[in-house]
Amino acid sequence: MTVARRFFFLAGDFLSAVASGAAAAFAAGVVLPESWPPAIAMPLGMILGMAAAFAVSTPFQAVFGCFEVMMPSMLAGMAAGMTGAMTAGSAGHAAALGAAAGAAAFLFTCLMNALLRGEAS
Amino acid sequence: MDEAARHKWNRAAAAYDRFATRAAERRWADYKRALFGNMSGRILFLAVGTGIDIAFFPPGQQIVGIDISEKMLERAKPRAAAYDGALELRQMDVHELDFPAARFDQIYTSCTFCSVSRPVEALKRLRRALRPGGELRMFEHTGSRWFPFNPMLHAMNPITRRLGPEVNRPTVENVRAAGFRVYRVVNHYLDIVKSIEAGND
Repeated sequence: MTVARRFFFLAGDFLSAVASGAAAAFAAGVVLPESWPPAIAMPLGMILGMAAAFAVSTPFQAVFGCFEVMMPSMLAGMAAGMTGAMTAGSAGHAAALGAAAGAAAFLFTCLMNALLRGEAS
Repeated sequence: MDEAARHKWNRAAAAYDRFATRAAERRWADYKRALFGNMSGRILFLAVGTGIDIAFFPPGQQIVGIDISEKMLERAKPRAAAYDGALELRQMDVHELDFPAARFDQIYTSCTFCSVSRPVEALKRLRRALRPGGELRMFEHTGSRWFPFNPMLHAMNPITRRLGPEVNRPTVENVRAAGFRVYRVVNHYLDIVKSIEAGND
């Protein structure tokens, strides 16, 4: 694979994770009331975040690949959904935090991929 | 024949190329070309689908390609006709393989065992169709052993299985359970997308 094509795909993975994280946190921030106890809001935010990430990342998968898009995006959805459920303030603020969670999910997945890819023992 | 699987893949056939080939196949092309480049002898290719993998086959081989879906095979026909070698397409369920024992020197699969309903049973059927000393080479996606990917894939599986594949299959363990000797596993993405090489020892 050429360097340009590799960069194209990585950029797609990154954009999908950031968009999924933002959408997940936004959805959780809008749907879940701030007054709910964390023990309920966090798991609901995670489920809502995964659903939002699934919806947002699906078009990216058609252009950039399947698992390479899906894994960081779904991880972003989980983390950002929980973040959005726990964030006080505007949904826009939650979305910004979710986008940051998406970028972190992308970097974490890249790191794990560097550790795991190659011949397995 | 597994009618549920046949109907599912018949329904998926029309959109399959648009969704699968544009990105995933370009991304995985190098890995598939390297794996399928080992083809030699009498070859069974499992779940040939719409034939998107045929472009990665080395020329001049004798290959039988099977798939459970007639709609998929219909779309594979032009690609099979363009292949520079002998490629016969047949509709067949892997659980009901209609080949004599030890018929093939090599068996290849490509994103197949995410969808086969009874994977260990199907792998045992493949083992019977493979000659002693023959090789099974698989390009597959599986579940992950690692957190947080493992629970994520389990959580997503009820949705993905409705659309097509399952995403949490322990395929390497299934290959061993069917009696093959797994001698090489290469992870291409995380420990999810991988090549598996096994022998019928």
